Amino acid sequence: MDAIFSEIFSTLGQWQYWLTLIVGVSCGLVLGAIPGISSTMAIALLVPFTFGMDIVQSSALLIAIYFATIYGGSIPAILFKTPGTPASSALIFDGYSMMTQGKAGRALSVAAISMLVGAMIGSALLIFAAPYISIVALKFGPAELFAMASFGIIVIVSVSDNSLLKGTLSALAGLLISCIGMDPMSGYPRFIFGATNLMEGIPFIPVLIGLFAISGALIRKTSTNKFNDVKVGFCELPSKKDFKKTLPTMIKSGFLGTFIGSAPGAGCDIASFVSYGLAKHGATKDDSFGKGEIKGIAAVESAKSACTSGALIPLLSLGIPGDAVTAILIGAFILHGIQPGPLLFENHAPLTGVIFTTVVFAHLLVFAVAMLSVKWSTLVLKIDERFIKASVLILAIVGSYALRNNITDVYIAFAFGVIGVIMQRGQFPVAPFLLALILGQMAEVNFRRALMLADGSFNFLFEAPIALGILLVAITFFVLALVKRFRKNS
Amino acid sequence: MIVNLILIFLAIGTLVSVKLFPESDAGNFPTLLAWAILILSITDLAISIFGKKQKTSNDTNDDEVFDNRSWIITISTLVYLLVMPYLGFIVSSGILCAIVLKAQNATSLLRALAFGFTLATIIYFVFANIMNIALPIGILN
Repeated sequence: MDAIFSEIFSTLGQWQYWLTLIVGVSCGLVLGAIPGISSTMAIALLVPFTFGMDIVQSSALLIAIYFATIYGGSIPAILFKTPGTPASSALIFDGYSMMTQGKAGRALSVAAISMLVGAMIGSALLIFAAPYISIVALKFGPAELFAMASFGIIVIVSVSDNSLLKGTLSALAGLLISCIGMDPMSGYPRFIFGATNLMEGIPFIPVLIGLFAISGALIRKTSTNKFNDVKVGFCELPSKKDFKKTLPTMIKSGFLGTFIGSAPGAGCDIASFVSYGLAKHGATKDDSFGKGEIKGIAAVESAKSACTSGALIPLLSLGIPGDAVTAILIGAFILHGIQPGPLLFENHAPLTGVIFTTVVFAHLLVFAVAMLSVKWSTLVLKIDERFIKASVLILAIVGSYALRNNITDVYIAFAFGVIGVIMQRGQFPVAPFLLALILGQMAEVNFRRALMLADGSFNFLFEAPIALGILLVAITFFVLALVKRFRKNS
Repeated sequence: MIVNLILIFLAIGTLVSVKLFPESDAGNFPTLLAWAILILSITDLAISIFGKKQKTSNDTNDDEVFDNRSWIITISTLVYLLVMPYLGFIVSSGILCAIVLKAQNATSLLRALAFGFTLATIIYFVFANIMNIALPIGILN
């Protein structure tokens, strides 16, 4: 234990360590805020810089970038209705609504506080409960992953504002679009009609950019935002009332986000949408979800930051990367001769201690920068909205192109921009469509795998109690939403 | 209603395409989805034709309109995407940005062009030099 603490204090005393963290956080926030630059891409871009570093600095840089990009995506989602990362999409409903009401500073500061609370819950669970969570997470087979994907989609459909039917249709359309490309089981190219660029399927980042950023640029707003009337302090803190109101949501979402993040295959996108859906389900009469409710921001932000710590649980304790980002992280560890897994705690205990410390300090630094940047971020809104719209359109196009250096992705983004406009005019919610598109392949592949393992029998659900439980909870949510809607209409 | 018609067309197209798949279970999931979409779209269409009009929208803001200016921006963006590989990112983006600004009556043509080209040049250099992402250079090559 002494060796661990000695290593931690020695690392904390190095200026190079802090510089690495600051650079990682700054780069992560900027890259995360650019639509199209996902956390995976940001880390992939900066991995070459870690080759000359030792493992402590290297892991500090990559972890800082990971956490910062996930938060960075929230800033454009709140300010411009353009999520920087898919995980931030759920922030649009309440974050952007708050911005249009002139409460951008409050929205950003609530987001930063929620990020910190969720991150601290996630970090505490990572440090103290990783082995136990890993045991449960390891039980996640195809049936459970299918149930988890279905849960995310059903929950977000059940909180559709307009009608459940339109929400369901939107989700089904997203699932159908996710079938485009090579069949993951047989390898047969489905619905590509000779377009080889679509072999890998419809990439969801251009879709996200199209649905939110490009459709927003195509539609004209008749009113202007009210931000010019509001003064934002250097570091705006949420009021005591806001904090008291959102704290229970932050805590619940923190635990939920950590658990979802720890399940291999389930990422921060699902965590943020599920958390938002659950918070909306538990809304009281005073809450105004979808119209600028701070609980909505707290739920999303807390869940996605907790999810980042949760994703490190299977990585560090089992050596299993849960998603693309942690796969790159595991590669960086291996590059430095460190094999994550159960033996990491035994063979490299001081290093593990330093990594845990990095997780905590990286989150704290993201929070500090986020709070200090509230004023500067909101100052952007002082610029004429029409100039912002033109800039967002160009940036959205570049973001789509940057994903694979492929013009097809830009065409996809534009097509979905038009689809986004049509959906909005037809009052079809876009969130179920997007989430279904993201989770479609996960749902289909795991459903078919589970069926194969059960020799084609649908009994696999009854043989997997966790999966059955998750699905039953999801169905309950849907039925409750249906009953609520029926009562409201009658 | 338009969305429902698109979805019905999509579902029928899927069911027809799936028939061309070789014997494998690659088409089962899309078939299931297509049937669900078909049934629900027809139901929604029937509701919107025969049902009572409801206005419970939160997603569609009343202050958002798709008018002639939106059409100009949409068509310009489409043309931009088609010419970008030939004209290059800086030239085409500068022009698109200026058109979008002019369509919104934001500023004079000269200022719009100046803003557009400055923005496109900055974005180009950030992406090309810092992030190592090569954007089309086109006629400036």
